[in-house]
Amino acid sequence: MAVTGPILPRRATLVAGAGTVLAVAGCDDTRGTPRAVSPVSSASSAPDAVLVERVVTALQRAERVAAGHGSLELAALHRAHLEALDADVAGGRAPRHGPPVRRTEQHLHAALVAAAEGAASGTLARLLASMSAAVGQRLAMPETVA
Amino acid sequence: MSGPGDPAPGTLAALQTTLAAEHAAVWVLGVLGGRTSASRSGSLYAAISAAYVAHRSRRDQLTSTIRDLGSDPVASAAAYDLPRPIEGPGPSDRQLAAAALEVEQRCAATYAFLVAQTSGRERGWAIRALNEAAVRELAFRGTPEMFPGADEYADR
Repeated sequence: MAVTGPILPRRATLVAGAGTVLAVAGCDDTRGTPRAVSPVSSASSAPDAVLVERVVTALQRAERVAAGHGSLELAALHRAHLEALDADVAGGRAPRHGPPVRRTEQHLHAALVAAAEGAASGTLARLLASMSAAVGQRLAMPETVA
Repeated sequence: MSGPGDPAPGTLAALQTTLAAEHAAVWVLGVLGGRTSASRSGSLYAAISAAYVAHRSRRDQLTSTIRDLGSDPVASAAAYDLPRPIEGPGPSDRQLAAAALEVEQRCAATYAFLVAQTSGRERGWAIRALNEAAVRELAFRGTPEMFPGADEYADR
């Protein structure tokens, strides 16, 4: 079967689907355009404030543990996630003998999944689910999360 | 995922959008699998085959859910464009992996969209699907992302 270029004039639904996703997301006035997104602030989503606070605490802890073990890429990931939530990066000292990185990341992953499931805001749920997937990717890479 | 009842506004449309993406993913991965040599590229063949099985299962689950909600599931097209051209009679593993990676990245974006549009069991399903797609990306030479399925946050 020749598969070079378009098979049929009909556009791939996968392509159209992705376009639809972006178009729909672009209509979400709580999130802005896909390429000019603002942080999801806990202050702007009162029903989710407690949920976001718990996630921020878990992220700050994971950032400290990762930094303490020299897992710089992992620590950078958590800082990026904190920024997306409009939260401060952890200010405390990294523990010299903190809990293992993998266990901390597993707890964080479970917390992010639970928060995504429970968020009242769909926009926040999407962000938290994406964060959980990012942590899930690291957990799937033994060389990244020892 | 769900039993009979009135879905929240937007839920059904989002489920149909996701099903349409799954139809395309199953078709494209089937083509990619047919162009991959199991003997020459065993690990890539296995990864594409596993992705094909996973998306076929997701497609069937979505079809069932949409029927349970009282709607007709969107049908598959006869064929789809590949996400990127596969050149020549013997495409390289790099070309095939890149195409498969693009399938997973687009599906991840669709699952993330579904997360935002749903709640309860449907949202839980979408979160799991997003996580699994993100991990499958790694088998296709993908690098870990900051925000799988929502990369606009990484571009801020």
